[in-house]
Amino acid sequence: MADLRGKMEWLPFTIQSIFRNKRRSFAMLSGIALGITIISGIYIYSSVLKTQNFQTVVENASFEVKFDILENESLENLHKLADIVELDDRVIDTTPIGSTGFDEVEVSVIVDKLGDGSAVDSQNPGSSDFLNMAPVFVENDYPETEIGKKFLSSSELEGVFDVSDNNVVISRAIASKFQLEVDDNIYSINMSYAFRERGGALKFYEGYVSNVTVSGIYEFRSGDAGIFGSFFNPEELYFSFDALNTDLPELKRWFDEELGRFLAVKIDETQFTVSDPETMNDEILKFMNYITDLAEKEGMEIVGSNNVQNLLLPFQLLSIFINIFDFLLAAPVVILSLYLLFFGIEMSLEERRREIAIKKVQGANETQIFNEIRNQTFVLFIIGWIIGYMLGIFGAWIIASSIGFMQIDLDYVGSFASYLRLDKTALFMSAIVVGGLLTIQSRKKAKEFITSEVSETIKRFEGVKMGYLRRNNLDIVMFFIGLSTVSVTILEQIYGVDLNLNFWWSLLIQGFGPFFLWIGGSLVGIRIAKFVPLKLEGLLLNVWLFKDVSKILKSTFKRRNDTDKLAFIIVLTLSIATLATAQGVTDQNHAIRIRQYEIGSDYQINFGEISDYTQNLTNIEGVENIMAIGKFAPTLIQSTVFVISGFDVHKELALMKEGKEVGIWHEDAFDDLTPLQALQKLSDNPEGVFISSFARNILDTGIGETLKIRFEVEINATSGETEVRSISDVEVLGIYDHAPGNVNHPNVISSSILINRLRAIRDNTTIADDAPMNATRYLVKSTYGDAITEDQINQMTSQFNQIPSYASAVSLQRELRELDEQPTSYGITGLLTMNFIVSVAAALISTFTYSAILMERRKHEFAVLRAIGAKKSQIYKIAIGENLIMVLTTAIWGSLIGIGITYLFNGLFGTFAFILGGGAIDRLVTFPWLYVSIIGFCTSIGVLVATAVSARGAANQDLSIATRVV
Amino acid sequence: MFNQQDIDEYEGPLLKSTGVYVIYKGKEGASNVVALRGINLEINRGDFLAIVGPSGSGKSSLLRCIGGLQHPTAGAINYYGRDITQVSESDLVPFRRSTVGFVFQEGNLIESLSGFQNVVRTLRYSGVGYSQSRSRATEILSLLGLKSRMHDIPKRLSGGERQRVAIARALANNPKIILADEPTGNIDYANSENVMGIFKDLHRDLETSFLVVTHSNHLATFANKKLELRDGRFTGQHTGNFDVNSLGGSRSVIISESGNLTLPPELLGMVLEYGNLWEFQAEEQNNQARIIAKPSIQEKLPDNCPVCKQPIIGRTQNCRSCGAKLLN
Amino acid sequence: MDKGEEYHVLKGIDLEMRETEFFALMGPSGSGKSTLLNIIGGLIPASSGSVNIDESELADLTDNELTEIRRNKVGWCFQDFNLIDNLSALENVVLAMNLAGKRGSDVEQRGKELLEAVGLGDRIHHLPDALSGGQQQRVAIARSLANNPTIILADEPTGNLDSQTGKEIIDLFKQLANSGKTILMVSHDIALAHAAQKVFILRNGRVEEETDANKEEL
Repeated sequence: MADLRGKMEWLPFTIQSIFRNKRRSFAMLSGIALGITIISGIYIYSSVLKTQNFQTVVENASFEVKFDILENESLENLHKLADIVELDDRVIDTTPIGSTGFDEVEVSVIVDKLGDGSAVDSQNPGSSDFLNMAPVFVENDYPETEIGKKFLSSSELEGVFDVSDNNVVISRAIASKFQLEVDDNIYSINMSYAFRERGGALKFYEGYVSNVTVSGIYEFRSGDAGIFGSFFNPEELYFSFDALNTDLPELKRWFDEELGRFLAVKIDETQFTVSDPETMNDEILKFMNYITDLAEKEGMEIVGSNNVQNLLLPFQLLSIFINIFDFLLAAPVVILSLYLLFFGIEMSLEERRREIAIKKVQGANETQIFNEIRNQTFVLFIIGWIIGYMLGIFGAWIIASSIGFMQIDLDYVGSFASYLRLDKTALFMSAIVVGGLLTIQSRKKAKEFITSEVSETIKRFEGVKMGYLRRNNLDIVMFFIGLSTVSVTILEQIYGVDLNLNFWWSLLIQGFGPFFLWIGGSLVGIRIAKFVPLKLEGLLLNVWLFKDVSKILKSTFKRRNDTDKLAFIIVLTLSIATLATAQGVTDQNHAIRIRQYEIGSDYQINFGEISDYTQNLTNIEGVENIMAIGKFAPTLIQSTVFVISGFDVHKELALMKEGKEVGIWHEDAFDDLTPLQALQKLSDNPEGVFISSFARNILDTGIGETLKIRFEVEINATSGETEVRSISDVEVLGIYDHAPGNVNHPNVISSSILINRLRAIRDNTTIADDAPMNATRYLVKSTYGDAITEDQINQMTSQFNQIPSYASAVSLQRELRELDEQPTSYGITGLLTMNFIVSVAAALISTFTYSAILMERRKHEFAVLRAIGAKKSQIYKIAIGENLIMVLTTAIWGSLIGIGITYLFNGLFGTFAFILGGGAIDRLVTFPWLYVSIIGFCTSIGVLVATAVSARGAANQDLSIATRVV
Repeated sequence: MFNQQDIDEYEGPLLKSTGVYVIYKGKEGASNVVALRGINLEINRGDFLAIVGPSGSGKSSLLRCIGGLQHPTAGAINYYGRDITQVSESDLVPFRRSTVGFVFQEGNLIESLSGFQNVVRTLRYSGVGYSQSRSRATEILSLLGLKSRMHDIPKRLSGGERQRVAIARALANNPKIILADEPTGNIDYANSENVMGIFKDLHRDLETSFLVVTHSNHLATFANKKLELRDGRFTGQHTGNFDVNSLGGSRSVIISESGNLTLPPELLGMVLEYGNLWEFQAEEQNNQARIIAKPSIQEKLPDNCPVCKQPIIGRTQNCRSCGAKLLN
Repeated sequence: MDKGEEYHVLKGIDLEMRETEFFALMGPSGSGKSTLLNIIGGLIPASSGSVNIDESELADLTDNELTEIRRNKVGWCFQDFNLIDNLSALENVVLAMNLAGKRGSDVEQRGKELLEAVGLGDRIHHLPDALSGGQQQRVAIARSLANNPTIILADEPTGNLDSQTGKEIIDLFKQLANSGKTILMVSHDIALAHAAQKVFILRNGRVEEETDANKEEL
């Protein structure tokens, strides 16, 4: 028994040592906990996100499982299989579906609406209008099946879902593209397809479904999987199986032979573990295997597949990108926390110097001393691991529920429970990384400390060697590299100078620039922290508040205490805090900007048919003014196809001069010109155009030069003969970046006059210059302004609905409000928030720890001062005064570095934003000067307070040491 | 490092130091500091050596070198004939455990551990078993009168109690020699008695050797050998009764091999009062040698101490009763 | 002291001092002289009993009030001077006044006067490391006088000085006493005993002797 106690002796002893040496334990613990928090936080967030995506998919999927019959997949057989499957009580319903999917066969769909070829939009995969379409065949009773009902409940349906009698149900996107409405009759839908026969030969087939009526138009409401979504999920046209049988014999044959049909099975979700993706997938697999066995007994060879997994694929791909981005964004705080960790290790060993010497005298050998340190480090690690993981859960929740920088959606609080989980990956990875670094570094340092001679123990704390980088002035080099990358970036972003750097240079700059600036700047900050206070100290001594302790401050300043580490930490942390703040606000503003650009005004209304809706719109209550965006497409300039978008420039200009313009014209909408100037120019030159910088490059043209606009017109319907008409000498008035109403670089901006002219030429008619332009897209400014209520929005929308040919309307205010309520997807602002919190916390913790050690060493000095009459408050004043200028200097410098990094990081955000959506317009850095100043100021105050608090021991000590002879 | 057989068989002194020099490099432009200039020292089993000297005389350096905590700049320090200056840091560990016990003036203990734990740790480091360590620690601490206080941390103990814990710790492993730097410096009188008693017992019963640096008369009375350390050299040796405050009464001045001697301080004061030119005469009579030195003017000491009125006996520097300095 | 010692460091000391009194406190090492001085100076509290300076009972005071006492009623001289390095002699003296909230040109002036009074009028701008031990102690004395204290406490002020300089310092104290200050000094120095009006001897925690130093030369 005693033997066991002997072996376990180390534990209570270790714990006692930890709790008796609070300061150094705290130093190390905070570093450990912070590192664990961040790493586990990100992992937890990712896995919650995955689960949420999974649940979203399952929620929205109309069916989860599909079965294919090998050999003969006739409808008859499918019905037979359905009977078998439906016996299982895990199944709610089944229905056969015929689909060409994505990977087995390519289908090209051409909609010939009028049968005269004149309104055909060719579906050219190369054009920017490409729409991925595919036909889906269902039974006529589809809407009555559970699967059909699920489909309908997760989408908005206009019209009815009726595929019988040659009806078709199409998606909203298809309807918009071909300008179709409910009850429209389509002359024919041409489906040509190519697939590989068994044996490998590629075969082409064509099929038509003629005389089709659009019975319904659906629009999905589910979550957006970014650009991946559109790749994987084509827009669908729903036909009946009858249509297949009658009109598409080849396709039918293929369906029969090649697994074109399948049995869709809707399972009872209550019997499955929806909350855990892995478990649920296993359960589905089990279910499928069971059914397969069952079917085999009935003589059918079937194979099942998990539809949920298929639907999940785009989300998964997106998740990978998000993870990478999140880790990049979290990089600064990870680095900070590792720094804090190393700092903590060093401080705690430094405090042990004396103790190590005493232990040697007590007869401990190096191994024994080392083991004691190792044990304490280990126990601290365990404690830190637990605390860090719990904080990581909290951190993940913050990331997910941030609706804006430093704003949390309280409604989201309910979901906190989903973050309370034991995520194996998080626990493991954080332990490996932090634990690994901890072990390596503390081993190395501990050995150094222990093997030094006993008599060297009272080494001067202030004699800290300058690191390698600073000795060789490499810090200045790093800083200048960083500075030059910032200059490049600022030239590009603010001054719009196009330096035409190729992709790899840009990546290099965006990738390494921030790092060099950050670290180099922080190291240079140490130099500044030594230099500036020297000059300004005299000023401080004259400040009224510090007059009574001015002499002591003077003495300390002359002594040049070791403030290196403190200065470094402040710059390091404050620059990140600045970055987080600026990017957080930028992010929010960017989201607003994008919506302003996409919608263009208070309202954007789209119509199915091109016409002049001015009267209809103006009459509606709440409408102040309208602006049409007329289009003329396709036009060719040289060999590129453009769309010319025209605005009624005169009217808009007049309104703009009164400050009442309809469109939301951003300051950066035009290069080198304000919107007013640009519109004025356009108004003065109605036959001129603005082009994008993309167009300028590929057309090799410039301001003041002229373009020739060409287009093809069919002059003989029967023979199909066409003629090319053109307008020459169209002057390039300037370069634009984007225009309200989703107008960007494939567009050329003109006035309505040019549009009218082009149309006149095309149609061989005369159109007056100032005739109102027919359009399908209208921007509407409402009288209600920003304060428009939900009711008013609904009212206006229903009015818009009444207008013939109405297709869709979207309200800017509603979108913006939704923005406020939803947590931003993918947690960017959340990560920024976390960055911010962590960096400020790191600054305070390390300041406190470091100062405490310095104060400890000056105890005698403070005791004497107290003896000769210094009040406790004066001791605190000394602690603050000594550091005041240094802290303010480094805070300002840190903010400046932070500004630089903000611009550098902006490019990074821009690149990823393209993938995540919203990359159409530039991400303008909004610099919240006031906000940043406040933060810098508050952090400085916090640091000074930490310094003062660390002086508490010195202020409250037993004063008898004043008389002791040292 | 030394096994029992070596120790028993070795016939020479327990500790012998020869020509030990310690020189510290000067900081930032200051010249080097010579702390010890050729220390020769011999301690046998059962010796109790007291070293007296003013601050700055090199006492701490001496103790650290002798105790194997610091390498001297030059010279040899032999324990049982083996020179510890040639031994690596890790080989010194067993030496520190079993041969030497150290008591500093302060800073002996780990502040975050109780007195009891401090002693237990020491024993555990040496490999003593768990329960054995605890019982031995209790034993020693009780012996030093600390049984009721042994679970308090040093901060809560008075100076004297702390020192007693330190002594307990030094004694834990039954060292052959105890090195102590002002062990009773911060302890009040009664507790000093206590401590002295223990030292006495150890010295007598176990023949533990002692090398103690002290100011205390009391402590010095136990010494069978007393050396004066001044400016890094042993300048005087005392046998028999001596008075720290009036070393002159018992001192034998050491003359180094090169013929240097350091004038004892009380002599110095007196001597200088009479000027710094003296005549020396050496006589030899009947195999007895004498040196006679004559000053010019003889300064007289008063009969009674001007402060406490006690009679002054002999030529002393401080009044024995009230400590008042009598001579400049 | 209540650190758990069964043995008390100071046992029931009674001590009274008035203006212009220059008292010495002597005793063997370890007798508790410094402890007594610390208590009188308000650096550490006594376990029991009262310390009364200028009718202020120390035990009743808040920390800030105690600091007031230390500023304005008590002046300290330490054995190792404890001057602030990097500050000139004048600045060290002015420091004490700054801490008490005084500033301005008259403070500077007073500082100069004090330094002149201790014989350092020509070295007011010297830094401590450019001053000898005796000179540093003089500065310390000037500093202790800065706020016109009632009593000056000196803990072995001549401990680090040679005898000649020590004598000079004692003379300085004597002068101060004559000019109305109350001075209590701990020392081994016999010259002190000479200069003081009364000598208290602390032995084993008690004041055991009190002799009137006679004014005759030794």
